[in-house]
Amino acid sequence: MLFFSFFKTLVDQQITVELKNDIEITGTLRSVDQYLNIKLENITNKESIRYPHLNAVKTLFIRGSTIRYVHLPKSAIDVNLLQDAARKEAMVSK
Amino acid sequence: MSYLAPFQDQRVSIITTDGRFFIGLLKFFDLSTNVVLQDTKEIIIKDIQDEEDQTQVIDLGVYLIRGDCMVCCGLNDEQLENQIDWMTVEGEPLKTTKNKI
Repeated sequence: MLFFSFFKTLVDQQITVELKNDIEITGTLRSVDQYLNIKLENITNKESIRYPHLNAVKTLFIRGSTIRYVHLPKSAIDVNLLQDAARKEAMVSK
Repeated sequence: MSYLAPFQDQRVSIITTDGRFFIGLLKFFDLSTNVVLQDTKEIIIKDIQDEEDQTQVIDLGVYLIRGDCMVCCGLNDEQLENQIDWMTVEGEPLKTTKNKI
């Protein structure tokens, strides 16, 4: 549940999601759920020439299972806090 | 949590894990992101590298797409969609989400 909470703190940030089919989509994180399904608003596709499929789309729901990477803005993350939280969660689950 | 709820009864674009692309009216969905589309069209976009290829728009009617086959589901902006004539669109074929190492 740690990363669910973590992503909830990133709502309204501009993020880039790289999918397993190599498409990269940038947009404003609108919401996230327990499966780490992500909803982006005002999306732009860096490679819209190669992949014009999503040209009519503004709001995109992405299934968590098909996400490869999420690129996050460095300024939005407190790495120390995240590390502490990860350690705490690891302790609890032992 | 039903994040697809705001998309219900609106036109959506769906990409599947096997690299296919559908547009249709979202009639039903559930928590596993299974969806039912009405007036579904599969659009096979002309490969930009292949001179002889042609864009195809195939009418499929009602279609159920199983959640685990879905990559993403985008809400179509009516204005943007009306500007696009799919028959003239070119691009590269979508990749699948199964990547060989």
